[in-house]
Amino acid sequence: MSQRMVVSEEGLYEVLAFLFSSAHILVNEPHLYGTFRLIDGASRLIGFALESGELEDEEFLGHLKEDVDERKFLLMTDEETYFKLLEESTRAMAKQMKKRAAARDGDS
Amino acid sequence: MNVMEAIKGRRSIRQFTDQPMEKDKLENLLEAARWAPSGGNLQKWRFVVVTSASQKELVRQFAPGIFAMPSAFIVICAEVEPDANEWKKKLYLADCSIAAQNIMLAAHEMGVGTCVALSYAKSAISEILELPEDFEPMLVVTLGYPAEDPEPPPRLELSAMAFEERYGQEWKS
Repeated sequence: MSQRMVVSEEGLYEVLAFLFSSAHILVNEPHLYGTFRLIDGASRLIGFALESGELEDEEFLGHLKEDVDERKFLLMTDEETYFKLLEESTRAMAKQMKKRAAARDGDS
Repeated sequence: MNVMEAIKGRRSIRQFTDQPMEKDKLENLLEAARWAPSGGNLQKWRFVVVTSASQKELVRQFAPGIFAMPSAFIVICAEVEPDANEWKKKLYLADCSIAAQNIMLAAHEMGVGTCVALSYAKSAISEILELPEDFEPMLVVTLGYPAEDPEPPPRLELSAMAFEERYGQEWKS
């Protein structure tokens, strides 16, 4: 498994600005916005990583980002489907990380 | 387009084309804001128009609620007296909100899409725009030519939100 850096310094700063700003404004925003900022932040991070063009899991992360971006705004109109997105994306991450761990164990 | 058509036809636009906003149009929008009512006619608002790529990028980076880059931002700021009480603080926001609505309706009439945002880090925006200490960014309006045509979101029926004489007594059309 690769140990390469996959986010540029510019990307890092953009994500940091997003995280700091989110932490700051979430003090007064509706509590569910917190979940939104987290998955939106995850999607932004994936976006920067994809830009590097050096990801081993490009297909998985690309699809995950697409799915998150497609369904995240349902927070405003369809909470049930939005909650499903949170659950399903977390499950997808777990499945992928299991696969990565298995591959890593196989390597060693 | 009459006023009611503008009110009913306006949508929050979150995807914009790359076409830049013309300066005369931006000035017309500022003019619309200038004629908004304000409590006691105090006009404590100030409007910072951001169109340069570098400033826009900085503003967007500290506005987690803004998802796509618009052609311009109008940051509506209020001069906040240091000893302003809660009532006065609400008044500043109300005044800025009315000015924002003027901007959005006038923009809609000229084919420009807008969205009003509150999800941004005030301290960062103040720093980026170099606001004087007693000014606060109250609202950010994103502007640009629409790259989407969203359906109107559902609205409550009048009977569910309007009452005659006292709360709970149904409004009858």
